Amino acid sequence: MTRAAVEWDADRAVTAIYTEHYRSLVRLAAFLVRDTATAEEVVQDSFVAMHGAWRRLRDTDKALSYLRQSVVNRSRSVLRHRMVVDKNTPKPPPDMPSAEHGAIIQLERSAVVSALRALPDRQREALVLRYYGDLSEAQIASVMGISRGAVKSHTARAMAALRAVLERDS
Amino acid sequence: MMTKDRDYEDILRRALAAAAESIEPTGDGLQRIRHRLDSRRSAQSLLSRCAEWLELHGTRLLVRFEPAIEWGRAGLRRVLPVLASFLAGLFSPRGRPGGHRGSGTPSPPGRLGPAGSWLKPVFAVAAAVAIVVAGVVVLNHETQTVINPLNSSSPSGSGTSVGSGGKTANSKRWKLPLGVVLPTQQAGGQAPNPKMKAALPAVACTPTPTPAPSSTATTPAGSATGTPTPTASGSATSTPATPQPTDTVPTTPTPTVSAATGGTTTATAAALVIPDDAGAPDGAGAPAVVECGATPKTSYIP
Repeated sequence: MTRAAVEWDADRAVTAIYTEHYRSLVRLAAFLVRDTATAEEVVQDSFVAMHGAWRRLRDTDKALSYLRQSVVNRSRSVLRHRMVVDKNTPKPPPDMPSAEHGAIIQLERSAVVSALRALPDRQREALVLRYYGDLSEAQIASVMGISRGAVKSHTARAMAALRAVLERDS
Repeated sequence: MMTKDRDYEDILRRALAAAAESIEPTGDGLQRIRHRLDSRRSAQSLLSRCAEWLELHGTRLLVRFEPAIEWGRAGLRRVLPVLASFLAGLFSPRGRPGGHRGSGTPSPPGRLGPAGSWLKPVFAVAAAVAIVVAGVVVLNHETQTVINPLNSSSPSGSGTSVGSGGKTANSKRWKLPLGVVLPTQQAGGQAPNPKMKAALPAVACTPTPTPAPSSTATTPAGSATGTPTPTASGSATSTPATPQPTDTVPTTPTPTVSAATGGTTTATAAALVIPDDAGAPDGAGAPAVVECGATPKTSYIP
């Protein structure tokens, strides 16, 4: 297949997958990075990467899996970067909301989501992929790049922590 | 316990679904993705264009700068032994009066003193950097000495757009080629290179705002006289409505000078062949064919 044909095919795939999955991917990323604008950036970057890798993928299912994996990896990068930035910037006064606060507040409408936010990153990823993305353990393992056993472990620990928080609050 | 877990899973599922409903991405996501893809494509195409340009002009540049390269090579050949001996002197082990290493006798400090262990590599790196910088400077100088005679022309402050070192109204690429002398320059202006002026015939070259018909011929046919002669490759008519551009001009191995016109100009494309004895600065031993309306080129004519 010529390069132009591959590019044309990739363009079509981007449009098709965007129409069907963009919103859910942005929501998935928003749960991970806790910020809708950043989530959109992450998903758009992933689409661009998928377009570049289309010669290898050439399949919508593979592309969707690639996109999920890319979103999770890029979200991790964002969180890592954010952690470094937070370490080096002075903390705002307690009565002054941070810039991120406005974006986060919409995610914290329920106690469950705020408890989810308090979980470690990997556990949160496992829960979101499982209970929001409705992925199987094998799919979660593939997306997170860990074993199925590790997925089970992360999920079980996350559920225990979540339950403890909810029971304590109630 | 299991039912309680199920309850919590259901609660979590519902809570996540409810929270996700409140997240609404902006509608211009696809446009932004396409914009990013386009910018990436343009960067890629720029790279590929650069590669093509290098492929096309690399050999020509190599031929043009061959004297400079040869000069640099000769200089390096002269400098390298000196540098090697210097480095060898720096790193060679000095004679230790105490005998072998580990004999218990502390070896005396070298010529550089106790700091010699770290000064030597520093000196070596500094010497290497100095050589590279000197090479770059020398190469730059050589490049300019080769290019300057080609692009030098009358003082550009006169405001005339014709042949003033590329400062024309219609085209940035328009440069007065080697050996092409304007009538005004002949009259009173100073010539870029008197030697060239003496050796080469004068050709009037007048660009116009109207785009000239593109001609890809590097050696258009014509006579060897200094006067540009209109040939089949371009018509000398002054009517802009009837230009006769020809994309495929048969190349002839004879040294020629010709002119082709387009639009209202008298001559918009001219080529000169500089004979070997004219003191061509390219020094490649081959005549240089330069076109009016394009950057000077060098090509071999068997």
